[in-house]
This record gives sequence, C-alpha cells and structure tokens, in this order.
Amino acid sequence: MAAIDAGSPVGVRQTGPRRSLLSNVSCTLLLLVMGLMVLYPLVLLIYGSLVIEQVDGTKTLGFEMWVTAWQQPGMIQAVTNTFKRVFFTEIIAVPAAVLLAWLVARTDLPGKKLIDNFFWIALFLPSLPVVLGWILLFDPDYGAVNKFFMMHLGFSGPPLDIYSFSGIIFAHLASRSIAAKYIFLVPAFRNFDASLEEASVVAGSGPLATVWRIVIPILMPAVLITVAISLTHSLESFEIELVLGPPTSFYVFSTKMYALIHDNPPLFGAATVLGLSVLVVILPLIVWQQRLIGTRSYVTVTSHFQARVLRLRRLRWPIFGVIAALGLIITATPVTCLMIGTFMNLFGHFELNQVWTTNHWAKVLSDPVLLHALSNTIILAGSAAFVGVLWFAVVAYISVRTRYPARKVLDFVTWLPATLPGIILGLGLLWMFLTVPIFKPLYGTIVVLIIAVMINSVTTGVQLIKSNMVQIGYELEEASFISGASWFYTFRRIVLPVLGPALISVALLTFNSAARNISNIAMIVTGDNRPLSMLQIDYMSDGQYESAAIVGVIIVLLTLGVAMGARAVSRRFGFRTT
Amino acid sequence: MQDIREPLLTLRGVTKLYDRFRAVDDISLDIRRGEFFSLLGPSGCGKSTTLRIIAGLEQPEHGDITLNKVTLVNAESGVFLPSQKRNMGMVFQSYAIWPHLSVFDTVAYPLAVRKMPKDQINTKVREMLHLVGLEGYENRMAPMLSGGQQQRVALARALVYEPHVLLLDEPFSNLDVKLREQMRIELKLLQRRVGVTVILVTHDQLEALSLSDRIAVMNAGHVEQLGSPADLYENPRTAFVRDFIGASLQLRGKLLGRAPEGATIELDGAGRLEGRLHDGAALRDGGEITATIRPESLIVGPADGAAQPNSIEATVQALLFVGDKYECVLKVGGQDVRSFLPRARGRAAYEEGSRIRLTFPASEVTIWPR
Repeated sequence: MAAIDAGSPVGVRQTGPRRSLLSNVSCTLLLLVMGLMVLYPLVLLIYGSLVIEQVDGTKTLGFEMWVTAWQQPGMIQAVTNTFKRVFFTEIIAVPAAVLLAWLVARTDLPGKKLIDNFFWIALFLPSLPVVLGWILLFDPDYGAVNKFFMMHLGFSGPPLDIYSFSGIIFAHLASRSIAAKYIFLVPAFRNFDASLEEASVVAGSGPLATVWRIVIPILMPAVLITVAISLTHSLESFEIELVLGPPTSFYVFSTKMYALIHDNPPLFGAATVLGLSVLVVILPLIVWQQRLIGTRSYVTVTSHFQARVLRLRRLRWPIFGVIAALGLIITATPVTCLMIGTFMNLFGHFELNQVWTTNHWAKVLSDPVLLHALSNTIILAGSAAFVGVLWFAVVAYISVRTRYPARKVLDFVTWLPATLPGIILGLGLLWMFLTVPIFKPLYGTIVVLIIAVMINSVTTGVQLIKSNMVQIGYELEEASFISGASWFYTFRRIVLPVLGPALISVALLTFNSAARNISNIAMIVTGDNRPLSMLQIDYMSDGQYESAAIVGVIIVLLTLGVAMGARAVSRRFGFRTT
Repeated sequence: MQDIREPLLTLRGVTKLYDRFRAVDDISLDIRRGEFFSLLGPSGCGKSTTLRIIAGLEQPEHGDITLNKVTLVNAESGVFLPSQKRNMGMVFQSYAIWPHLSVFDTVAYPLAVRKMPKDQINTKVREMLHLVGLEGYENRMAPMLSGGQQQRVALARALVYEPHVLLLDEPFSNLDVKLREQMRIELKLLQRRVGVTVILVTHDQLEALSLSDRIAVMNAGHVEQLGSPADLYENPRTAFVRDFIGASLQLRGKLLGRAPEGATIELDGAGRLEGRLHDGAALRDGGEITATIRPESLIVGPADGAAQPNSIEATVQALLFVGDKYECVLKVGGQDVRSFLPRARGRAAYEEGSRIRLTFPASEVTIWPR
C-alpha cells in the first residue's frame, strides 16, 4: 500500500470539523441576537413601567405607574377572569384528553387513524374562523341551534349563548384545548412498555389495580408536563375572548391589555403593568414547567416495546361512534358553518326571503384590501418559515453538536417564548420598536411582524429539529468524514437528506402558525402590514361577519393545506414519527 | 519492499483530556503493517477514545501520531490532519448506516467522494459486495437489512477504498451470540484475504484473544500490558491483566518462606502450597499474598484418594453445569473461591456438598502480593 496520497496537505494547521464551522464568536453573536429579540423587549417592559416622566422632561424611577394602573377599572376583574376561564377549561379538557389518548393508544378501538386525523385537523384549524362558525349556530338571537331549541323544543331562552362565560369555555374545548393535549399524550401512552403492565399482572394484580398502581404513576410525568404546558398556552389565549367577551364586558388579561392600548389616548402604562403582573403571578407555573421538562426522560420506541391492548368488547363500536361524532363536531361542523355563512345575505339569518347570495365573495375578492392582506400573510408566513427554519436549524445544531460553553443560556432563551404569553411579547416588541431609535424605522414594516411570529415558533421549531438530530446521531456524519468527505459534502449528501423531512415539516408548521397568529402581532400591526388574520378581526369589529367569514375560509384553506402537507412529508419519510 | 516488521502507525505520548479527566493518558503504540491489533479493556478505559484519536475524530492535547512516516498529529506544533485526509476505514459500533441510501450507494459513497469514474465505481462496489457476501442486495435500502447484513455493509464501505488501516469500534456488540461467532470468523478470513492492517476496540477478551496478533490491554487511560494473546494469558504482568484475561482460581494466604525455585505459602485455614513468586514481587516472609492458578491446570480427584503433594481439600458449595464444564463455588478452609471443574464423562463426578481434592502443580501456581 502506498503512502498517503501526495496531494494531501500534511502538517497544515487544521482543527476538527465541528469547531471550524461555528466558532464561539458566531455562536455568541447568534445568542445576542436571540437575546435582543426575546429578552430585551421584556427588559424594556419592566424598565418602562418604572420610569416616570416629570413635567420638565426629566425622568425618575418609581412605582407611580403601577399605582395609577391599578386604579383603572376592571384590572383585577381581568386577572381573576383569566384564571377562572383557564380553570374551568382545563378541568374538563385534561381528563377528556387523557381518556381519549388512553382509548386510542391502549385499547382495540377501531378507526384510530381517522380519530387521529380529526384531532390533528382540530389542532391546525385557526381559532377565529372556527369561532365564527360557532357563532352561526349559537348566537343568542339568530344562532341556528339556539333557534331550533327555542322554536321546536319549547326552550324559553338559548340553551348555549356563545357570548357568555360558558360559551367561551365551549369555544375553547371545541377548538384546540382537548386536541393539543391529545396529540401530546398519545405518543407517551403508546410508548409505554407493556412488559411493565404484564409484570404487574403476573405478580397477581387485577387489571384495575394494574392501571391504578402501575400505569397511572408511570404516565403521571407525561400528564403533568401536558398540564403544565397547556396551562401556559391556555393563559395566553386571546382571540376567542376578543370576539366573544366584549358583548358581556368579559375581559381576560390579554383582551384587557389590547383594550387599554386601543383606548383613546392609549394607556400603555396600564397595559404594561397588567402584563407584568400576570407574568409575576404565573412565574411559579413557569418554574414548575421548566423543572418538569428538565427532569423528563425521553421514551424511545424500539421494536421490542409492545403495547398491551385492552379489549373493549361490546363497547368498541359505541365508543368509536361517540368519539367520531366528537371529531366531526370539532372539525367539520364549524368549517361548514363558516362556509355557509359566506354565502348568506346576512350572516346567520336563515329567515330572510333572500337567504343566499354570492355577492360577498364577489365584493371581497375584488377588494384591494383583501389582496393586500393576502399578500402580507403570504410574505409574512413565507419569510417566517424560510428564515425561521434556517435559524432554528443553526440553534439546534449548536445545542446538539457543538461544545459551545453558553449552550444552556441558548437553550433557556429558546425555551422562554413558549411560556411567555404572546400578547406580552407583542407589547414588549411594541416598546422596542417605538422607543429604541435604531429599531424605529422598522416599525410599520412587515419585518416587525416576521420577527414576532418567528419568536412564537422558535421553541417548537428548535425542539423538533433537535430531537431529529439526536435520533440521527453524530456517527452518521463521522462515517462520512472517515470515508473522505469534506464537511460541506457531508452536509449536502448526508445531513440535509436525512434531516430534510424534519426541516420541511418545521418550515410548514412555522408557516401555519404565522398565517393564523393574532396574539403575538395584535399589538404591533399597522394598517399597512396587516395580514389576513388581523383583517378578519377588523371586519368582525365592524360587524361585517360575511366578509370576516370569507377571510376566515381563506385562512383555513391556507393553514390547513400547509399543515396537511407537513403531515404528509413527515409520514412519507419513515424514520420519524409524528 | 519495506520491512514487514516496520511499524505502519506510531503513537507517541498521546493524551486526551476531558476537563481534568485524563481519558487517554500518555499512550505510545507501534502498530505493524498487516497485523490484527486489539485495544482491550473495560468500558471507560479510553480504548474507544484512542481509536477515535487515530481516526481523527478527536483531537489529543499531547502527543504525536505518524502513519507511514507521515505526521497525522503533532499536538505540540498544532498539526492535525482531519479524518477525511487520513485514508482510514472505520466500522462504528452503531454501524452508522445512512438511512437514505441503498446498499450500492452506501458502498459507492467513499469512491464518489474520491471522484472515481462511474464504471470503475460500479466494478469496485460489486467486487466488494461479493467479498462480504452481499451480492444481490445492491438496491436494498441499507436500514432495511438485518444487523449482520448492516455490519457487512459498514465493512464494505470501510474497505472499498483500500484504506491504510481498518478501525473497528466494538463491531460485534450489537449482534446476538451466534451471529457474533460467525462474523468473527468471517472478519478473520476477510482480513487474511485483503491483508489490511486492523485495529479492533473491544471489551470482550474472547474476541480479542481469538482474532488478534497482538493485544494492548488498557485500564484507566493507559496501556497495562502489550503482547500476543498467549503471552498475556500465560504471563500477565499485573493483577488487572490477570483478572481481566481468562479465569483464575484465587486463594488468600501468607508467605511462609522462599527457596531458589519457588516459595511456600500458608492458606487461611487450609494448609500449605508450593508455588512460584510473580516476577519482581517484593514480598517479606509473613506478607499477605494471593495465590492464583488457571482452572485448566488444576488436577481434581476424590478427597479419599491418595494424598498428592501440593494438594488441598475443598467442599463443593454450588455447581453450575455450563455444557463443556462445571462452574463452581468451592469452600477452601474459610474461603469461598470461584473456579471451573472439568466435566467427567459418563457419570456425575461431583455434587453439591461433596469433598474433593485439588492438586496444584507447583509451576502453575503464581504468588502475588496482596
């Protein structure tokens, strides 16, 4: 065998592949940019709430703003409403989701694929169009279901008024509340190693005692994490309350903040204080969630894990019937109603002589306002998806593959947006773009919104890419280096193809959440960069429900189409389970 | 023609630190052209890290490495040739099979990297697949193969570009016992045929003993002993090597006195034995010792038989039939010792509780300081 090829540079000072690509300097730069986008607005909020401007223009620090803020009417009410709403939603949603996940993952229920699909669709459906669909059925005056009950079944009042506390709870349960938990829980339930159950049965426990003493304690961490995560998500909810709350003067903290900003003159101080107060109240929850996630051990699926399937016997089909009906109710029903609403002369009024028309479609589709909003949404979601996926991939790569010393800080900044309510982040960005001179020129441009929606997706996006990278393992890359390939050749022929499906689905998910996002951008939208989701809000507050419904249909088509694409992509490439 | 004994790969004072922990501690090795060399040791002894340093996947803090008189690493002057340029082949413990490539594309990959013409790649890959017994699987996606087949793909990928050295990182640990034995024989035959220099990392002494020309036994980041399998088995230089390679019966006792040809020891409550002192063992009379013997050197007879010189009595405490022999726990005086007993033909020679006589050929007993 000959000596090493004459052409190879011997004795050249060179470092290993993982260090040369991303030096500590560029990692730190990235960390600073992320800190600027996530932490800095938060710092500005706190600082801003403590600065008092005197008549002569000098500034001092003090708590005056906090004191005056709490003198605003309805502040405390907004906070208690928030927790009341979250409590009643979660107390129903958590047990329901656990039961559903258990039925699908651990029993011989038929049609599991179908049920899965229903909940995935429910998860990806944007809330606002769905609520609009429900209004058609449950408006206290013209809602079709309410009317039917009052006219034909002798009810004196509407059985469910959508513009009420119970209506709001219903809207939450019937949109993402149960679906999100179900999606999160099913894999944990599925991966549960059946031999643990079998060991208990062999040891003499009956099936119920096994569930109680083995299954529940082992699955508790998964359920707790789901509860912790969904509590923070539930707390930040915005658009359902924004539409359904005002008629009965029901405000939660996020809608109250929005109302304060849209007061005349805008009450920035009060809104800031309210947001920060809620943050302080939920701080223990955030800490708890972080600790739970920190101690989580990953359950891996291997071929010798076998799910023990409980046989439902005679109850199989009846239970399937109930769940399938539920699935139809939370997906097809509101979307169908929304569609119907777009073709009605007056939204929800079936009693008119001329019920149907296509005039609204003709009008809206020819309206330059809609086209402008549509192009804004596509630019917004498209750029967020494209830039976001690159950004998330780099962050994930640093976190998984490098020995960058400040990795933990990076992880923390990545995780933070998932726990901070979008409306507070939005207000922080508003402060940043209005008060910091170098950012001011960006205000009113679409860039501001792109940043806001990317921040909203960073946690999930990075997490998804990271888990794929971990699964793939570094040896695949090392095997390529050993074979003689350079870093870039390896990236092109090994990393990208292997990670590709994950990157595509992260891009599509980011697109989806950007296109329907309201709470992160509500504070910073201006007339010029307004996307479809905000246009729908504006149409609704003008009472143009028919036009709002048309915009809603467009958003549904856009988001659902993209989400289904994401699922198809991740399914086609078998080495990843969604 | 180069001298066959001349080292192909040389490591001098190679040290790898993880913070303060010395994962690899001042290792020097000479690996000869065409030999089958093993790094053997328990997990965490630094053997895999040493292999990865040779491969260029880890950068050592100190030391230098040369291949064919060409410097790969010289830590002091900052020379570090990356993996891609070392022309080595490696089979990973996980096999590192790329999930998106077919068997053909996987094996062709290193050749494609080297910009070899298509038709030449085609011939080479087919030759290689024939050699590892995978012809007919060209278009199969590599992850769809069984463990043994995946390993053959990994082997083919590592050999197809005729590397200077083939590095094997615990290649058999993911296979079941039967397949492991089969792959071991196949690997040995393949190495003979190809003539490539192999460095194997393993924690399995059987694997190392049966495959290697030479073995370096590693412990806590350094080389305990280097030698041929027979040499290591017969003349372990340290207690670690003695205990790690092969089984031995061990008895505690005290040194009574020494003679030119050997020494006498008093076992704790079980009589006296003659043996030879381990090389360079510095022992005073009355010093605490451990006497060891390989089980196959023991002569086992009935307790009531004629008293042999250099023998002691023992009681069988537990007897485990393992096919070709018995694994057992013996009571010798106050000590419980583990050993093996030969399997007697036709009849059960021992049972639990029976008394037996163990005869120790004095030349086979080694006396170690304790």
